[in-house]
Amino acid sequence: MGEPAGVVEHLFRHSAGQITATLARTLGPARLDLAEECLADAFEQALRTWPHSGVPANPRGWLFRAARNRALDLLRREQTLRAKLPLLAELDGCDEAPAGDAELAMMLLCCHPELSQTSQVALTLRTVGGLGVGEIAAALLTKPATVAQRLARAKKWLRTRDEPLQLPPAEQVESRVDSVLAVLYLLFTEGYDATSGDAAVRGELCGEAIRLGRLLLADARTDLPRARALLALMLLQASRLPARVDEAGDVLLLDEQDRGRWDRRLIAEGTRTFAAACTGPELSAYHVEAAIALCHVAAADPADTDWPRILALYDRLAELRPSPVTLLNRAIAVAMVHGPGQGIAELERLEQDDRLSGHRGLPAALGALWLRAGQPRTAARYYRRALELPGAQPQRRFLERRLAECR
Amino acid sequence: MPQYAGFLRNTPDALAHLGPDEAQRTLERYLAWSEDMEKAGRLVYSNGLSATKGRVVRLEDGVLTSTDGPHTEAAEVVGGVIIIEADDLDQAEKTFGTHPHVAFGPIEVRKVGENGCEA
Repeated sequence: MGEPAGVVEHLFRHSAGQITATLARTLGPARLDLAEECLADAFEQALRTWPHSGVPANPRGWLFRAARNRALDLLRREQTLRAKLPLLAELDGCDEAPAGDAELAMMLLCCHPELSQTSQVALTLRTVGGLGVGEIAAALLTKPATVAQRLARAKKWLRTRDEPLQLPPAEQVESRVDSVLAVLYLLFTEGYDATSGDAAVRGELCGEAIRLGRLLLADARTDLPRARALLALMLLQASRLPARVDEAGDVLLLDEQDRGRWDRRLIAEGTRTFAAACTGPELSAYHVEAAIALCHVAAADPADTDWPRILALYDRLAELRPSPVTLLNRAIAVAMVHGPGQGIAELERLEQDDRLSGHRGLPAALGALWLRAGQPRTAARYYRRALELPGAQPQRRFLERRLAECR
Repeated sequence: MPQYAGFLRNTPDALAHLGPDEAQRTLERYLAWSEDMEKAGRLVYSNGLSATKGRVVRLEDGVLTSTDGPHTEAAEVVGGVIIIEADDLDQAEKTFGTHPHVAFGPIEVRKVGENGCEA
């Protein structure tokens, strides 16, 4: 027997991305299915042998070799792929650096503009993020069968392209990075404010988005200021995760959180990363959002929050990304600076926006502002309206708690 | 103390559909079981069996033949063997019943013969 049952945290998931990407680089992304089959086989072998023989000293290398050997076996039977045999046989380890390269190239390929964004997300999470089909379905609020179908279509598309796994030409890298950033943003947001499931926060997804964001910064070609800004934003938001839910797992508002539980290490790293994002002239929406997050973490007490500065940043964000959610958050900042009445006026204007119909955020924000304006009955009406809309359990409990305050 | 062998059987794809994190949690549960048995001083032998590197040899009409096996088409394969010490078959059954493998396939529990003569 080996050492006590210690397996590196997320060993399988992190190895999954590296192994799939490394094999796909050698076999060609067209054979992603083969790479995945070999990976599944390596996992199965590990499950069959490690419980008895103990975890090997280099479990990552073990998994990699098992997957590669399986690929060699399969390739010997496939005439068309025989030419790849020597290349594959040369792969002798899953060294961190080259695997990072392959993962990065894989991530950029997964975010190819010819794929729909929903397919981009699913493919990235599956191949680079190492998430199972069920987990992806939960993250994207859809059925496992739908995810499986999207993945099958995306893989079919990869087969028709059949080009080597490498970074796209320099002139395409920037726009491709934009797609990757959009996917990571979506992934992080889903983790931060889970719209599905029983947990209000799914730190797993946030952690994965941060890991993939770091991959972008590790390569000079994809280390763009806006990539740094998004990573800074994610780190700063993640610093508040430990304080974001109470013992019952319910969401706490910023001014209800125990700020002593914010992760200082992440705040420091986020602040450094943000500074590194601001060395050039580029100003993306991620820059502005990170600056807003920085304002929040800079306040030791909710009363110290620099709301006028936050409002100015939201004005800027509304120019760069005039999404309804941006405008909703801006209205809350308006209320903090100019009083609830003005915030309510802004929100009532947004009620005309079709994109926000069915979104709980709007009636919930109106409820909060009416309550602050000293009109609990109007507030209760909005909270009830918010509760009529679909959403995750913790969000429901949050709204019910607010509604109770209106009496 | 009498020894009992547990044959861990499962369909070939029982473990193939696990996501990476599920696979890891499964592995951790398997390891924890073995560790507990080891600590209790009851674990005699434990090993996994290869799913692909196997042959079946048989004598047919005086000719020795061999086929690759176990066949992956088979309904169930034996993926591992564990031998433990237990007071009796009932206790062995109870012990193997706590093994996390039962979520994926059956465990066949057999008493290991002593000195070739088994009651």
